[in-house]
Amino acid sequence: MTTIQVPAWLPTEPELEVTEASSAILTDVRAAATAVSDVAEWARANGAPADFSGDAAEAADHAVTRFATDTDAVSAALERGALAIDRFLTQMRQRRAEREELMERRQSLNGHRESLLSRIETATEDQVPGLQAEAAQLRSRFDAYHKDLRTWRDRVDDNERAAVRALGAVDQLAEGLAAAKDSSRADTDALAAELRRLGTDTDAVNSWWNGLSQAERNALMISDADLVGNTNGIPTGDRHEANTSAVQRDIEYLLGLQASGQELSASEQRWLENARSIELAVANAQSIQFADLGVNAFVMAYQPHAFGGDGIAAVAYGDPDTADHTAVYVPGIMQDGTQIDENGNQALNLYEETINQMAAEDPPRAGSVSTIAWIGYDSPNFNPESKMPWDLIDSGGDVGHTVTEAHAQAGGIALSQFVDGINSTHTGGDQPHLTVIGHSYGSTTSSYAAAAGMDADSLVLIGSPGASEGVHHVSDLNMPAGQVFVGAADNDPVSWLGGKDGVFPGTWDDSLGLGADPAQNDFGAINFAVDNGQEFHGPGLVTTGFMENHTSYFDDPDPARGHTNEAVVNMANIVSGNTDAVVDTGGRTQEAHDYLYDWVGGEVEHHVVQPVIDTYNDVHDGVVETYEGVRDEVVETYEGVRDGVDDAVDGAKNAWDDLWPDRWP
Amino acid sequence: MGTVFAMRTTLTILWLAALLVGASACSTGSDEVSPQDREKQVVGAVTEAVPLVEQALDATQVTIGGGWSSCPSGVGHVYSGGGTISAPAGNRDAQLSAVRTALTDAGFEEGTLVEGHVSVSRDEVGMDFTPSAARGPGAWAVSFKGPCKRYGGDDEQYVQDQNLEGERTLLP
Repeated sequence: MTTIQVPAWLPTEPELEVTEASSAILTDVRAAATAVSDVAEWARANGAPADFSGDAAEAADHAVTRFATDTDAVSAALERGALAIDRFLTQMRQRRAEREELMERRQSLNGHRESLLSRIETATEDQVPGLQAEAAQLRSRFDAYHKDLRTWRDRVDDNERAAVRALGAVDQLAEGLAAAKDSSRADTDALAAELRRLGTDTDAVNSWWNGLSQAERNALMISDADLVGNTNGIPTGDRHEANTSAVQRDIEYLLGLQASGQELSASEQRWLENARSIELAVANAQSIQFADLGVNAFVMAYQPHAFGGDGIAAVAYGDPDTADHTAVYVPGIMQDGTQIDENGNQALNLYEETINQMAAEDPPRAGSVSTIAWIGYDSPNFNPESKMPWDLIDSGGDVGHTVTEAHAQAGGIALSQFVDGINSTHTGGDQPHLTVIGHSYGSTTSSYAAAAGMDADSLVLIGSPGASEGVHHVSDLNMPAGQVFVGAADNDPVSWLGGKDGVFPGTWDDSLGLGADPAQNDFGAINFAVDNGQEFHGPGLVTTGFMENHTSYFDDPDPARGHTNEAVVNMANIVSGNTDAVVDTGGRTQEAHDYLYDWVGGEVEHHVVQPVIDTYNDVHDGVVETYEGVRDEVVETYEGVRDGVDDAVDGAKNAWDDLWPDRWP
Repeated sequence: MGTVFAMRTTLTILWLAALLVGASACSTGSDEVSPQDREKQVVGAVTEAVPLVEQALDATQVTIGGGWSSCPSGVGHVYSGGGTISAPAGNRDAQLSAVRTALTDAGFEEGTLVEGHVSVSRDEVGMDFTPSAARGPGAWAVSFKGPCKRYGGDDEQYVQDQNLEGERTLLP
């Protein structure tokens, strides 16, 4: 009897229990380590100096000094622990990738086995030698697979043992004290000083950071999480880890205060709002609404105390270090760090639309995308919940003081540096295709950045109150030719503010405001179609004009309010570089201020003149009714009265027309 | 100096717009119903519409969530959300037509303004359905939104607390 030895079917290997989600443990440990490191630093600063001696010093500082030593030991232990976990997670990430390869091999080998078996079943005698040879070759491949699988399992076991050993090596105070005194421990003071010295040279920062050991990077992320998380040029993943630790540290601290019965001060409350908003911005990527996009969120900036507590925040959807196409969305008026979650949702919408537009191309285009919501400047901020006069004064002061040339320029510089950082950290030796999208006052800030030489490929100005002072034409923005795009809804009142002249020409105001209206045809940008929004009157200035027309550029279609999504579709095509799909509508031929004058004129007509005429008509009708029952003499009197009133109303209307012509002033 | 004055003038208008919001809570966007009733209105419309779409597409999976959040302007709150309907791939135009018919037959008001979408509304609730390659083959993105409204007192506390709670699952 002829036998052909076919290897046994290969079972699947169970998935590793350590997944990407397990990195939450590292975040927890880093947050704890950062908090302890902060306490240790405080204790060191308040304990006895190393060369201080004597009874009085002993009595005064002994306890604090000992506390400083102990907390430093805990800090060193947590630092080692975090490093061990970080290494373990990195190793597990590699092991998961290796397992995927092994399972693909397994599937292929099982497929060959099935094919061989089916051919054996129908084989003729003369085919047997060939099949035996094929089976021998397959057995050899199966043996190699088994060997590689065993090696892989051993590697997993080794990694686990090493992690447990590393954690066990610092689970006693004495071991922590030893770790704190270890001469090989990273000198985080020196590392932080060097990072500060490199400052805004993002290429130098990136090169220096990548030259550090994993232990040094880990130690610095713990000791100076705020510095690492907010320095442009540090890779996005590391910024995210440092910032996430800081966010968690802050939330735990502030909720701890509340839990202890302490009422948070106004600044602490604002601090908590900042922390929770960015936590929510990250969570939104995994929300039911967006989870199926499968996109990761990265915290690229978190400074809750910046700008008097307004805060700095930035969140990326998709890793900009590896993305083919990156967009930086710069929100405008009324936005601060406490609203990064809502702005993050706008960025998520843009992310999805960009992928969808690329998929809709013929043929469909592949490519990775990252969209970033960046609130890294002091946007004109106003507390809309203000009810008390002193709150209004405070909020008004915030607006009045932040919207100055200096602050707008500072915002432009900060944006330009942020963009430099993205260009520096992009892997693969090239820069990403990068678009900056400025909305509202963010468009003015973005224009400042562009005019000063921001290193972006495309610029979008949407709902703009002006393209910044000194910018009169698209060529002043120093962007590549044909890469400045503008969208402005006719019924967006913020877009009525830009102009070559002030709002009141011929007066002391006859100079530039926030700059020229970039939507003007003669500005020279490419104007794309947007939903023009609904007309509005009176309080509708806020509810419809501002809350809807000015803020719906990133939204999905909304039939209840009659909005389309033309703006986000066009922006998506710009972000992906498919600018041929963006049709130039030609832009406005009517001055932006004219929209404002027309609206104000219409409002006065509607609220002042029309009521006078309506009142007159009511009187008129009443008199006519009375007239029908009175004598002829009275008719004469009535006609006199009526003519008099008619003359008065005509006079008022003429006076009004003189005062308020079609184009005021 | 002229520039500074010009800035002030322009800003005055911006500021006044914002001031209106803060000072006139009664007249600018305050909701005439409680947030709980507003939430019921939105959730009711969504939980009626989505199963109709699910059926029209012969969908295999539906995940829809919603919750309170601040409006994009930072003024007022809105109940909104969305999710994914997973369905077998098919003729896109036929699917869009089937979805539209299912919804309008049930009394939802047709409001589609964009090709490749089906948009409907009921009262002040807008809903949009569109195939989304970004969510995978056969996936449809769902989004919905109530009106942006301002709330005061306990109502404001309610929407802020709900905002912190995050979204909740509406379907399945």
